[in-house]
Amino acid sequence: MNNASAPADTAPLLEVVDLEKRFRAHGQVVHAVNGVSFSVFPGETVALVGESGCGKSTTARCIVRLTDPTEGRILYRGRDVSSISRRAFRSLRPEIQMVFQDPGASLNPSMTIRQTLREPFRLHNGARRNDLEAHVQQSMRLVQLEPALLNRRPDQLSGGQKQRVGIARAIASNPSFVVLDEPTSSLDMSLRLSLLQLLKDLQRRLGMTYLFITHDFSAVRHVADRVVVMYLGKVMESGLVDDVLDDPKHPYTQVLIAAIPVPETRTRPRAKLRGETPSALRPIVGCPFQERCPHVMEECRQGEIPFFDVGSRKVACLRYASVAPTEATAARGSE
Amino acid sequence: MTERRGREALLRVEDLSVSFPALRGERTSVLDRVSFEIGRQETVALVGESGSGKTVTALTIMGLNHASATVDGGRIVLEDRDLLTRDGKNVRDYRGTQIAMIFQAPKASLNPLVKAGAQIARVVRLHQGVSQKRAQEIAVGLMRSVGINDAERRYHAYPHQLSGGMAQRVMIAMALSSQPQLLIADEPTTGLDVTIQEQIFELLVQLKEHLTMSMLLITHDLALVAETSDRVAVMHGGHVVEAGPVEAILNEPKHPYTQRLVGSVLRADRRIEVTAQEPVAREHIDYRTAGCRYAPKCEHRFGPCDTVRPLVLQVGHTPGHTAMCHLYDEAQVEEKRTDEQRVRSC
Repeated sequence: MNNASAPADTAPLLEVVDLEKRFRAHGQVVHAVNGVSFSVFPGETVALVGESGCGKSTTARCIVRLTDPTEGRILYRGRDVSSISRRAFRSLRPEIQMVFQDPGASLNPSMTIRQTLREPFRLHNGARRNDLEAHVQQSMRLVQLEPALLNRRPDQLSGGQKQRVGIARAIASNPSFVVLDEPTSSLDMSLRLSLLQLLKDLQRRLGMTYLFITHDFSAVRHVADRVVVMYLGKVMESGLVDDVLDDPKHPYTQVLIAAIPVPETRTRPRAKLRGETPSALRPIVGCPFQERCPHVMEECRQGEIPFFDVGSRKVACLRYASVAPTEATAARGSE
Repeated sequence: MTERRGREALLRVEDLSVSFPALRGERTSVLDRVSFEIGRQETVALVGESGSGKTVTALTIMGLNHASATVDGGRIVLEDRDLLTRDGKNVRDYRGTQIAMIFQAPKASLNPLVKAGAQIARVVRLHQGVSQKRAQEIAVGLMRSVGINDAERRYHAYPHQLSGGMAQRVMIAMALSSQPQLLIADEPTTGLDVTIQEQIFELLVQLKEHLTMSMLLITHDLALVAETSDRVAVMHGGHVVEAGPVEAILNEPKHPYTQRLVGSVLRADRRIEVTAQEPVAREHIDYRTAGCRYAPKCEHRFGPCDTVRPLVLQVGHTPGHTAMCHLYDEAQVEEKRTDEQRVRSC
């Protein structure tokens, strides 16, 4: 988990290109993900952030194929996995894993922890019956849980322990790529920190690559290398974590970051964001942030907003049109 | 927000003890001699992890605790009147009028079958005894005052048609309908987006000034506490383990639990070095111990911690900064020193 940008000569482990996911609701079409592109390089952590309804979780679910993308491509090790059958995707499951938001809801309540942790070894690794116990014990050690908990069921564990089991299950098949969907949002502050530390530690030891879905910018600062900010199904800004958080360029990122409380007792000047995210049911021409943007211009309401290179970042905002626009309209991070 | 606003306390919680039934006819003491006070126009934050007793404290003040909970001792004094000595009926004398509360998960707190505006109007009628028509007018006015645009139309919206932020505004409108002196906000923005959280707190701070109200904020987010509160009471296992002005708690935490809590705050505005924390082996708390309930997890644990309840002592240099820990008890530390000397001389 180094802080430098990924070297240009490395091929991305995962590449999302113009991803779209549309749902039908109340006879209308919801554009949950609307042309999202980004890359994740081996060994790094990319944070996908944004507020409720921005499409970050839908993007993650498309990547792990819990839902089928409507359009666009998802390249894993250079191979398009977005259009292969679900059956064919199964062979990739050991490599691409996910840790879910609510550990209580994602563990089977009627199975003991031992039974839950045996599953991935049986399914993916074809481990021999006699070896299962050793594998399960090893998993528990990795996530720093006492083996005595193996006989318990999820309701006998605390939230922090349950989430560690969720992590143990995800890493059992020795995955290269793990999607972390808000893994700490249901935990107390002190538990949250130790879980993030554990994830960092496991990444270093096992050489995993993370896509970290969250709305918690302090966690982003702590664990991620690069960040992709989404709003209403589109990428607004992406770049190195320190650059984006210290000096956000997109007006949306600016108000979003200004709203985060910091543990200091001083009143700070803030750019305020009025109103709420508009409904994704109504199609918006141009920038999705136009209605709430303090800098909105006439051009913002006309057609696609391209990405512009601003330092290490890519920013989808016409204020940076004077800086040379990027060739592609895709935010491919900061290679 | 450094100065104590009000010299005089609006609400004093004194030695409040509450227990719940446990197995084999025993009782679990979930609040053990909890004391703190809230001054006029002051915001006091009650912080601590899940199970520390924050919400039980708030519900006891509101008289909304579960029927199986019993108050084993202590007083809750609102302007010189002890709320615990009144009978159930009289709870309504102050609940919702002098003290109001808003909850976590606002959508779950609203009746899904009744229009949002009508729920506000009901509260208005209950407390003010006005006509239906007048109550509706007042409700629409309240909705406007909490920043709901298009209030006449939103009056007729059902809770599922509201966003989380909008539902919390409806709850706030309801809570403020009778202009309470104290608003208890129990994790009012947990689960809401950070920009909506900012809007809700901006509204609460404005209303607090406008209505000259005090606020008890329950949260586990210390960054939010830093930005909104005057004083803090830190709870752990049903004890107030540390209390004081917000700067003192954040900059010079004294109790080992507070130190751990403050040390675990991640910041969005800069990268910080965090000392690796060992996962706590025992997450559950022994409510039956005669000593300190944090002792099993404490790195400074010594002689008296397991058996003697620590005293609440003044600590640090800031007036009103107290901690409930043997480390600051000269007598206990002195005894430890002599013990160590004795061991050495043996």
